[in-house]
Amino acid sequence: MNFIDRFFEKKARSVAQVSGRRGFIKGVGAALVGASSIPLLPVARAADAPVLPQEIGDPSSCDYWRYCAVDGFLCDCCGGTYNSCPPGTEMSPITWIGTCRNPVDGRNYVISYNDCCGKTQCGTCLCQRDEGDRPLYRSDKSNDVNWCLGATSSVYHCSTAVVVGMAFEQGDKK
Amino acid sequence: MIIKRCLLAVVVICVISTMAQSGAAEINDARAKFNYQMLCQGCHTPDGTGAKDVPKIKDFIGNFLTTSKGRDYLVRVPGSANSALNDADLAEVLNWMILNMGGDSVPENMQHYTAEEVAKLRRHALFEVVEYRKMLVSELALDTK
Repeated sequence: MNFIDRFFEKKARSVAQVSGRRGFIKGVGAALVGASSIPLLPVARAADAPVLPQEIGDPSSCDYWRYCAVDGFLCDCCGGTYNSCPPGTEMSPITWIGTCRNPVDGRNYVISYNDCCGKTQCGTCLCQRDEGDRPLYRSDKSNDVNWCLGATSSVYHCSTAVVVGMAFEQGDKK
Repeated sequence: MIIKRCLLAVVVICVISTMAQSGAAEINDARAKFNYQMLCQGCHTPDGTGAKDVPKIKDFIGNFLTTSKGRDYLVRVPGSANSALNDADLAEVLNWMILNMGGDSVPENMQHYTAEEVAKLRRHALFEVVEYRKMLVSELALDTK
């Protein structure tokens, strides 16, 4: 035990001879300031950041920018929102996807028109804009498909418009 | 200084030889992701989990690369072969899907698809894809036993 005491006493004294308490505080301070600046460094964090376009317009109106390719009842008028289903319905995991131009920043966004399923048709705010809609023989690009076929119940209620990414423009870098 | 230069040369040679081995064309992440979203994600879901009858890509797709029939299948499947993508973009999105969603199923020595390979294979699009996939998966299971 004495040996351990002597060892640590000796070490503590030798440290005290070459460094002051102010030096220690200075070191801790520098470390804290340094650590706080790390999140500011320019790394490729944007790659996985959620895409949040600037909003304009009324999500319960067919003219709202996200609805450029919609064909159905707007969930925003049916107890849900433009990106969530009304209570008692289930969002279909399979969906039809298109792009719409955001009028605020002029950029094109990838929109996923997930249908909400499990209740009879909502019946309000019917919109049919159909930009980019293709005939049924291109089923992956047709909004006439009942996309609720991917949900537990295939009964269609209303449609959402979820932004899932940015469109790739020719000339874009990685 | 000389040692530094030698080390740099070794690193450069290693990188070049690795790329040559895998035949890797550079993947443009933004383009590949966009093409996946527009042409595949609607059914295969954002992370490749799939749904109901839509087969799972996530942590599985790499298994197909362990046999030549399986490798061909990923291009011959109708969603690939008949897609609106050109050969180079199809090769890119396939490589992107495998690397981003394949997880542990991706073989260590994965050979990237090239535009030339894709051009050849997509001429032979599959028709009875559900049965064919079942058969392939059972063969893969035998292979891994």
